[in-house]
Amino acid sequence: MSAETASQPWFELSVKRMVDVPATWFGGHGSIALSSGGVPTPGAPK
Amino acid sequence: MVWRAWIDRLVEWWCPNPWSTEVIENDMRAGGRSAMIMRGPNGEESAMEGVFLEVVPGERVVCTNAFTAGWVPQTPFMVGIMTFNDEDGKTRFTGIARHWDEASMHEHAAMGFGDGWAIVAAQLDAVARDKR
Repeated sequence: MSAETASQPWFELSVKRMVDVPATWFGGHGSIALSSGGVPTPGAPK
Repeated sequence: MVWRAWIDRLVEWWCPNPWSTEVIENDMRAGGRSAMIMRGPNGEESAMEGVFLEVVPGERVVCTNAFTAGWVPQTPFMVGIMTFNDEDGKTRFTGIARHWDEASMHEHAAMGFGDGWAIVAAQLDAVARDKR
């Protein structure tokens, strides 16, 4: 965790972690559909 | 539909065990409602009500409790930013909480942000490894 208070007008906490799967697992590259209620990405599978 | 899988399995990683998450609504688009209830093992309840500000599938989700759906302002606490960056076939997950004032940041830290979000990141990692 880190805290940032110096040169920014906001006050920030953060965490980072490497996840052992490609980012595409999280739906990258714009070829997937958003969850219900969302606006489908053009070209998304039905 | 991997993004959907991630969203649909959000309850498995969103808050540290043994707390659980009930998703009331997650309308994943700018201005869409984000409403969840987190429940603790001793009957504690913590409700979250806010909106998404930005949704880039697989890359970035930004949300805040400064508004409820329909851009109705409420007392703000934070802006949450989650990013997913591809690095050699792995993903660097970053969770950021930005606050309006230093007191809120310290309050959030005292609430267990560091340990809590580290556990959440680990749970997300475990869900990601268990690709269903």
